[in-house]
Amino acid sequence: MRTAVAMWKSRQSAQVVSLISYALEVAVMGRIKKMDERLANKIAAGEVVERPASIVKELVENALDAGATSVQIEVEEGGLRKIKVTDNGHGFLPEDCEAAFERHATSKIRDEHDLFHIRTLGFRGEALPSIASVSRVELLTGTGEGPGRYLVIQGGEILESGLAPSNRGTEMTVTQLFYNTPARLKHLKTIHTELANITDVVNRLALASPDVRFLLTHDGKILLRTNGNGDLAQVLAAIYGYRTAKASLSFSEESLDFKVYGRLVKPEITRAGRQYVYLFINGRFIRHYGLFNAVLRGYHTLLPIGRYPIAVIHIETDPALIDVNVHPAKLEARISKEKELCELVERAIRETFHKERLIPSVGARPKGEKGRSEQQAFRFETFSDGSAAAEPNARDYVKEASPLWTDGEGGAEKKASAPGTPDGDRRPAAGERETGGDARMPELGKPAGEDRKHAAPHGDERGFDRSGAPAKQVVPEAERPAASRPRPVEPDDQSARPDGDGAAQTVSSTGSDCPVFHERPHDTASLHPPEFGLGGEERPANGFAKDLADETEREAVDPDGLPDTAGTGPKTEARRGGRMPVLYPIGQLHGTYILAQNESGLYLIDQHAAQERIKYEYFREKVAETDPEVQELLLPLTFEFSAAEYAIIEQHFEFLKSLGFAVEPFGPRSVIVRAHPRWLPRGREKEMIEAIVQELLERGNVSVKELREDLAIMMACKKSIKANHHLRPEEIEALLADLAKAEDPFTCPHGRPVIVHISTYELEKMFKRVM
Amino acid sequence: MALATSSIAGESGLLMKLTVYRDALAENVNHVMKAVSPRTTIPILTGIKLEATPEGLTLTGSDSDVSIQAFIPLEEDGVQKIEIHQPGSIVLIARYFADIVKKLPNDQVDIEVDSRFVTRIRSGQAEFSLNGLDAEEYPRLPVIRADNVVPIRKDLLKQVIRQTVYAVSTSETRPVLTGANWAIKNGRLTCVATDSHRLAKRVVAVDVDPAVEYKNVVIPGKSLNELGKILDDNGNDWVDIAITSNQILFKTDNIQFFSRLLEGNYPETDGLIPRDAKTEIILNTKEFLQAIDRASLLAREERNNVVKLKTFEAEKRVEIISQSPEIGRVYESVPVIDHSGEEMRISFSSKYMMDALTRIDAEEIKVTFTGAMKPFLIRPLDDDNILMLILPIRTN
Repeated sequence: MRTAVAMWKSRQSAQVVSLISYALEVAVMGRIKKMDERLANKIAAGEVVERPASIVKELVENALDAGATSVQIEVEEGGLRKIKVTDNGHGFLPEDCEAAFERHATSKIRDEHDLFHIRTLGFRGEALPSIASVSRVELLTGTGEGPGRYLVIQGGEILESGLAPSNRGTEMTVTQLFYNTPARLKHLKTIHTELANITDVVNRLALASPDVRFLLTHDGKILLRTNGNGDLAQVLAAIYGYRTAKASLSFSEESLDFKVYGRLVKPEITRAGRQYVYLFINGRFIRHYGLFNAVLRGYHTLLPIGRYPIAVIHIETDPALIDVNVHPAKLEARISKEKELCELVERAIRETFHKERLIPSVGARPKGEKGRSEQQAFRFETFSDGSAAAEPNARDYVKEASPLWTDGEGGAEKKASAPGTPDGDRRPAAGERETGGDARMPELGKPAGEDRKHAAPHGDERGFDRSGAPAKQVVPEAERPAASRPRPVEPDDQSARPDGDGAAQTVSSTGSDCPVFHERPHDTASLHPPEFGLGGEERPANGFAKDLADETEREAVDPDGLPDTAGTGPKTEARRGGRMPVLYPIGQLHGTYILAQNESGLYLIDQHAAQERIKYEYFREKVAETDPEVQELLLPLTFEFSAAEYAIIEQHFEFLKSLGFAVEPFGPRSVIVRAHPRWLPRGREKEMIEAIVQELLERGNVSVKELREDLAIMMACKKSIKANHHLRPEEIEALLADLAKAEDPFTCPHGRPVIVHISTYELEKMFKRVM
Repeated sequence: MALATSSIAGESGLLMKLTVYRDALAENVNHVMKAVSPRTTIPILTGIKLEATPEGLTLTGSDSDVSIQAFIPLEEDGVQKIEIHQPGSIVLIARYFADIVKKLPNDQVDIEVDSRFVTRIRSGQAEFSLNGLDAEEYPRLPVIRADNVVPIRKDLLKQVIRQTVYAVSTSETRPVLTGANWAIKNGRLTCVATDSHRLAKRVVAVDVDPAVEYKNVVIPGKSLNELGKILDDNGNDWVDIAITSNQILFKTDNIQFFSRLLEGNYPETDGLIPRDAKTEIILNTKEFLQAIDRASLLAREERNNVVKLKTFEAEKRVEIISQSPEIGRVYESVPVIDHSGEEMRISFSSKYMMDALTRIDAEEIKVTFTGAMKPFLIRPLDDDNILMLILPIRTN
């Protein structure tokens, strides 16, 4: 009796498994009867086979567990008519075929020890019998040795079976889904929705296994095709398109227990939804709140409010640290040492971006909106002829001891300090295929000539000429020949050949680093769609290839020019390895944007955002300094907690006191606060204390810096120059110099971009100088 | 640098030491404060530079448009203002320094700077210690060699500023329009300002050699506004103006006011002023201004503050109408002193009209229309030296 009741009540719980098997073993008499196995399977199917997408997931996971390197998924009518999964895995042994459809039959784990060291995606032995109990399944399998088998099962009953050709691999065809569970059938959504779910599932699996070749078709149309060469970027390109993949960065970080790696899409591309953060633990897609938040913290201040990143994060660890046996769908996981892992993920992401230049490129934007009534304006067609005042470069300002400018020395300093920066050595460790050195700082460890091959010759470029000041810039001996090199855009220049393959080859063969977006060139070059033909209508083959060619070509034509300017740009006294390119100011636009140039094109800098970033970094440190001023409370605040919470908080009393809170226990589970630090915002004291306690409960510590971050952002915003504000050239130079020193010069603390870039190539394309 | 300071420093080890009368200091600090912007990308520009010489104390403030130098002489009109014990210089953060000076308790203020730029300000029982900045780091002011000084009466200069600068553009989208264009020719100074929706023009005679000629001197509107505030109504009646290719200097006895000039060519505006007239009406300035003011109460909601004007020649009056669909409408009739030409219906911004009327300084005005979509002119009845021009609003 008890077993039956429990069984019904806890349909969703994992316990059902053991209870049923218990029921199977013990012969029961009387009112309680052992459940028919098919009935049990149907019940289990309720949680395993929710919708067509779950079948796709189970079947593909089986294929992957079978060691397949190629998985083909054919879906018809959103999976309702047919789901066919073909793989080239090791196949079923002929004698295993029937057993596979029995409940709790699996080849993946054998004993308890295995359960806690799961390396396969499946292990519960539920999927196949569940699927077979609600549909018609045709299995065609072979191990490649001896004859294969085929088997047709419907509603759990074997209808046909026999021998088959001995091709290695398995083909599973599921039709008539939910034919015997009308309620489930009724609750399916439109074909479109079901298809979207299937695509999601396959996308995840493809991102989880970049070394497996996936092909997903729906009614004959290709929805996803990956080439299985192990490059995550290419999988990203296949799913989200070329631009996203190109804007992604590979990262890798290790701790004693964990290794995390993957690709992070730069914050210039964001999404409104959270589901684009893909977390994989040992190749299994999971949802995990804590880890997700760690990812967001890693992206902190880089994302606009309400926007989320696209990121693929693989975590590898000892399976013993992970418990995925939480729910049959295995979307959740319990992680031992979760805190350590979260910190690792956060740090890895933050450091990745701290090493990078995150300057988005520009596209044209539509504009214009007209009011009902329109104020007329002059059109000044006639301009007065040149007059005495039209001498833009002459300045009356004389600055002898300008604090902003130290000619030459900065460059030297940079060179000296640069080799010490720990870049590049992480990537090879990641086991990534990209080993082409570090794209970020081309001036390091690269044969100088190679870099300069693409560099535009700008020996004549001096940036802002400040008459009076000793404006001669120091051009190191080695850099000079650059000026005489041919322009890279000349048609006979190999690298500018507008033919896709040529460009791609050129780039990869030089193996150089044209870090427009810090993508290794051969990396992007290989973002070509997989070799085996490109048949889908959904992505016009030529367009894609051409686009790619264009882009690679652009990379070839358009180096970021760092190598040449390393010596000439004293401005980047690069603390952080010169993430900002050297910029020569041109002037100001609309009193709001600073225009600047270098070899790689035109840069636009939002002056307010730029100073906001600089001030923010200053105030962030400033507000973190806990000032000792404490506000006594006439009427103390009391807080009540649950016993469990109280137990944790009690441990932090000393810490809270050190922050300036006069806390005392007050009754069994209450805390009284008699004084608080003065920086708590007025009127929000209680709210803030509650937030602090919540932080303590969740994370075990509180950072004053983080709590006061809003304050820092606000102060930064207020203290910064606004738009529509004229700047003198000296002020522009000072701003750019400060910006170059910022830790994160690319976004303001609200996540909006500080600087955007229009490359020389884009300009040339606009003016049809190149086609 | 270190050498320089040690050689300047006196035996006392101080970089600077002086005693100054508080009111003289406060007044002049207040003047130079006008050139100090709280937000800047160069931190030292948030400061005021103090430079003591045996002749007196010079205060300097500077921002992106303007630099102001105020000089406190040892004595003025026989009254001693300052005593210099040790010449030297220092930069003090303007915000604090100005507030401190204003509130000091005693008439006399002692200021001394030690070799670490720590500045002690003593007055009565109060003693402040401010961390100063090395004056050597402060940008140098422009050097202006004045070949041709243009003198102008102070009150006239203030009037010119008031009557033109209001029309400059406040948007940096066309930087040159944020300034007023000055030209000197045949002993006459012409000032023009426009934000492309309206235009103000004022001509005054200046006492220079008729051969002296300047054109395209575009002075930022902000600078002129600050200048207008600094020029008091007493003291020396004359201001000397010196112009270079990118700076202009206004010099009174103790104040030097530098402004940058805007780069780029100011558009040719003479052609924009209509010569012919279709309709000309003469109005009492005050009556017309008040009517527009009332009409604008309802026009405010509209983005352009639109009011409509309709002439009735036979009845010798104009109608002013403004309406806002959500709020209501206003109608007003203003008598016309004289009307010539055809009837006119035109819409314009009440704000622009009021800006012009409040600055025209004439009892009666002449408004000249050339068409409903053409710019119209407002001038004093019998003074051609002042001209305000407004572009109408096209309504659908």
